[in-house]
Amino acid sequence: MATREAGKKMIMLKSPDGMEFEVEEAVAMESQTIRKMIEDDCADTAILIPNINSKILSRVIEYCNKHVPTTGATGAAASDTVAPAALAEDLKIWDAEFIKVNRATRFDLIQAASYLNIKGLLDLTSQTTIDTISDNSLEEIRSFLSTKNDYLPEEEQTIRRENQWAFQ
Amino acid sequence: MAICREKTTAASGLPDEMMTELFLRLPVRSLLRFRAVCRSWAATLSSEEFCALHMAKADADSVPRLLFVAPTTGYDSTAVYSCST
Repeated sequence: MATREAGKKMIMLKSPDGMEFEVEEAVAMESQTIRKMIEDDCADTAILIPNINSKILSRVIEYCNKHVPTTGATGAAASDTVAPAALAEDLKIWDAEFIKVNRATRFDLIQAASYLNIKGLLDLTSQTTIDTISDNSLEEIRSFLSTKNDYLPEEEQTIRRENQWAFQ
Repeated sequence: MAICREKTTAASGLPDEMMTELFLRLPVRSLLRFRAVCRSWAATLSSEEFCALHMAKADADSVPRLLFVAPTTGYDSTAVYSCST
């Protein structure tokens, strides 16, 4: 899949730590932010992606590479032989593996997906995080998201009472 | 998408906008529970702006939902049951 075919336009993405990634334009344009830059002719030979280090950027590119044939608007997708349902199932399994990362990496991916405006990746990373914590105890949630409890004990009790059904 | 710009989650590793992005995906039950996490979350999650966004998102997802509200046996509070997928 990574074979470069003649005629495919390539784009260079640079991370702030000096790494360069050459990717197909179609792959880069999975990011609406980059798509806009390219369409507005702001993209010269290389695009610097600020705030996203090479480790995260390479994961993001990996995601876009995997997802480009199904979401790309180019009529002649490379994998015409595979049934769409099987392809979707394959992507689901791939996504589930992709998102098996530690908390810090997950947070970095969420921010990268948001900055680069890649809806699929933002949905995947955010929803997985929410699914992880939504049923946790308040203490576990505070710990996971590094948030401090600033309620007085009686205030917390009042809030709990007001929303009693949600705690049952 | 600026919702509640109070100081909130400075140390979390996720900026406020990202927290809102996460909160928008919470089921209603968890939304209410999360209000007890800290003051700033309660402010965000109770704000009209957030509620409108959350409802808009639920509509966009277009999953049929059922909401059933009933007094509890003690008649001193209300039980709400929601059903999704």
